[in-house]
Amino acid sequence: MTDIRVPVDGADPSVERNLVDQLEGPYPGTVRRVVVPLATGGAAAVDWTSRHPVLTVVLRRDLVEETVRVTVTVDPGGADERVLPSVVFAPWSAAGASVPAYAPDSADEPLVAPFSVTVTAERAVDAAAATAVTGAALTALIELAVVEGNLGRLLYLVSHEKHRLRRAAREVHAYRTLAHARRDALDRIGADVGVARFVDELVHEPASGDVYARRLAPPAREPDGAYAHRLGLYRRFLLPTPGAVRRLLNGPGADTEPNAGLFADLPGGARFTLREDDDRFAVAIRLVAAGDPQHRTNFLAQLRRDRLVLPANTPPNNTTHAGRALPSGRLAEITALRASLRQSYAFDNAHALAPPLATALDRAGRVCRALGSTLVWQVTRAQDDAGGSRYELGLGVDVGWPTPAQATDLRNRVLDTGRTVTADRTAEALIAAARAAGVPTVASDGEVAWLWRVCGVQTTHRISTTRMYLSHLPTRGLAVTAPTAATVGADVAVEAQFHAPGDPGGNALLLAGLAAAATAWTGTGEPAWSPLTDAAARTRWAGVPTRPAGQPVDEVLAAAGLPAVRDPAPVVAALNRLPDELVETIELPAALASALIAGQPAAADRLARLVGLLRDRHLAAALPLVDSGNRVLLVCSVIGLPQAGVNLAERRATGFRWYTVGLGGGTADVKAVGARTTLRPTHAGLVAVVALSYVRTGLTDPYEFRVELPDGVALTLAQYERLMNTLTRVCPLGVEINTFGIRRDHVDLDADGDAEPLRPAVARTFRTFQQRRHRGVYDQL
Amino acid sequence: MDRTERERQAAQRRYLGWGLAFEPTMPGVDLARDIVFDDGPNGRALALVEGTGNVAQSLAVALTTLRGSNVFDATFGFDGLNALAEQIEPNLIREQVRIGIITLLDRDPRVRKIVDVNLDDGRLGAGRADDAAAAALRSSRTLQVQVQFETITDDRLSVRLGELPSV
Repeated sequence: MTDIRVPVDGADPSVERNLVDQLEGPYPGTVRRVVVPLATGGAAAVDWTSRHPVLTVVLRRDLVEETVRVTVTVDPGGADERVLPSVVFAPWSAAGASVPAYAPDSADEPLVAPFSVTVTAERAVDAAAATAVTGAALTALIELAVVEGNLGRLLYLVSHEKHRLRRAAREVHAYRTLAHARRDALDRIGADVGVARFVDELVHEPASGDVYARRLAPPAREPDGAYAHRLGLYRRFLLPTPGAVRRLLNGPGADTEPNAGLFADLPGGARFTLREDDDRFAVAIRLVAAGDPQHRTNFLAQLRRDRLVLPANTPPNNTTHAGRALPSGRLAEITALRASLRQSYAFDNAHALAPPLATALDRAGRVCRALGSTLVWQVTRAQDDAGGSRYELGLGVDVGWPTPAQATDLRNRVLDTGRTVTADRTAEALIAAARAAGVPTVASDGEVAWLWRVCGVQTTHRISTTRMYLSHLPTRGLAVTAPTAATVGADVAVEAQFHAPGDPGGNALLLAGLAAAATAWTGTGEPAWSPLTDAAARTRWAGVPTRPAGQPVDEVLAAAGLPAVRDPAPVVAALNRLPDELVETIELPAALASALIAGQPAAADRLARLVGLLRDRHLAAALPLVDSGNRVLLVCSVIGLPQAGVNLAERRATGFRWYTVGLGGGTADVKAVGARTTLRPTHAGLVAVVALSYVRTGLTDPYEFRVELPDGVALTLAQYERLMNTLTRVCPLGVEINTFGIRRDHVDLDADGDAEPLRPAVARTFRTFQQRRHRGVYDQL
Repeated sequence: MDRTERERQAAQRRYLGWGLAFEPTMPGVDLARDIVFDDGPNGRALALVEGTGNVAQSLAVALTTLRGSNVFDATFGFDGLNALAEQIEPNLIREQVRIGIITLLDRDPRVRKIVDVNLDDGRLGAGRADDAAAAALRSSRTLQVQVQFETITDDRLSVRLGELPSV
């Protein structure tokens, strides 16, 4: 805010002009106010015989924190040249304010002959040097006016104080705003919002790595500018929507423009990025009969009879659908759906689908037909009582892969903007949506997942080289293994596994991460590591020897951010309790392992780079084991590992949560977390065991957003403190703000321009701006 | 000055009041009036006017102020100025001017009695011959107004309004 106008007099704040306008009768004729044209060079002439004149200098715009000094010279260059005392407009003077500059002596002779003047002006802000105001800026800043007559002079005199009052009012008003408040006015604003002025400063202690607040030597206090900047966080109405938070952190403008918000002082005008693209949960459901297995059999029979869609046009299927107690309109819709499905899919007579899945598959079929493709998808498996969690409820089907030629044809057809639009408006809308979302190449998307996704099929999971599993539920290869029946009161083992593509296999995220890291590792010229099978890994773990303390390898491992295991027995015992699919072991290249054991610093750098690759691929933990024979094993996982914890990421990359849903009176208890859990039926009936799983692939969790900065941007301690307080201010209830990346890569502790990882113990070492206020402590703020 | 005269002046000052002197700045050219300063024993000071002079000045200011132009006293001023500018019969103009003057004088508490209001625009009147002066007045379309009134101090004043208001 640069212009604060206090509209005391309405639109035109000129005091003497208003006074003249209010005169009536015979008085206006004697009180004349004439504006004297002022040239850009500063010359002006009162070119008429004036009567009892007074020459005034008038401001043409409001002043803020600037002082304007005007000097008038009468009869410049003439015999009677006189430089008059300067006219000064103090800060916050209002537009229309005037100061008398020249009043000729007219006591004896009321009429004054024409005269000329020149004007020079200069402006200064605070204690800075004054700068001359010339040219158009001069005429935009001031004007000259002549007020004539004794009555005019008297009125001007008695009203002159009003200019000062207006200036004081504007100054008081300005001091109530954060942009212009100073000293005690700023402290009062701070007291209003519960934010005290700092009397200390943050200091980093290099020796211990600690960050602490050191009291400033009295009377030093936080400067007004810095204090006002902090108060700015709390002096506005703020609704913590994503847009408002982005605007607060970055200011207005596009992402490519420099930061103009609270953090405009970041190096290079860097802008923050707010990420809130959530990883999706995966879900799998397994039916377990509690007590009599007939509960499950009956339920599945009822499911086929009353719920599932049976696409094949056979008398038994038609009889089943016709026998459902549904309105005729709904029955007609289902009949049409079945007929439509049969145009694009080849079903067996016994195939059945959950209605949402049937609808989603039908959308994809209609899209193919609208594109002009004659492709018919061969369905090889649908609802299957014995098919496990993927198939028993009809929530998924297996279909054959399209041939590369078929996938290419589909892609070309959808990208063809000149194709003839069909009458199927749903299919046309889906085609447009697919085109807008992007259609990947066949080499990178052989399953044509782009087609299934846009039609509502959320899972496209390869289960072999010829078949893929489709489901409208997000399952991502998740499968639950459990017996079909269990005795009431007895524990049964239940297991969830995240199968990699082409299952059965290990954990999808772990295998994919290791494969990508291996590619990146060898791509830099490093020798490849050796993966171990699960059985081989457990054998090797058991042979890891106990090491004495103080070996060089310990320092090298610590430099790479990894723990050093000297007594392997308890660690290996804990490792053996972990599910095979969640842990993978690799053996480092021999040369690298030898260098590590020898304690070579260069080897530490290579190991740190390897750890970085694993971290970038979203693995959660890595645990080194120094084996005999100069060999080093690296145990990698997507969950926490013994002694290592979650040392690559902020938290585990995958997890499972279990629920049970009772059907037909059945109930059961289940341990809520873990890939392997125990189910104990408590009442006879049927129990649906639900596994909810997540995989962190770099996206955010639900009810979380992440704050990020571009690579190489380092925050000072003060900026980090301001950021954390800002995020505290904008954090909605129940939402987590993830600053892990900021704390790890973007805080410069020792002011050398490079960021250092902020240890967890130090991460919270910032001063909280806003203090909770209690009764009686107002004056202490 | 005898005692009677001093008492009369004191009464005039007391009852007719005093005020700042507003003198015409350009007599005969413009209506404008301005305050004036006098040299006094303590330096220059605002000139004052009192007694009948104050009444005369007040009436002169009122007669040259358009009624309603003072936003703080909308009933102050002379309404005859409006009548002079209106397109109505001359006889009606004369009567409106007469009423305006009487209303203005009635408003001033220092005026006790209006003795006479005489309007002359050069037309024939009762007991008057049509001489050259009347013809000139008639041709100049000037309305001469002469007012006689008594103040509450028993002074009889005669105000004559010519082409420009003056007393």
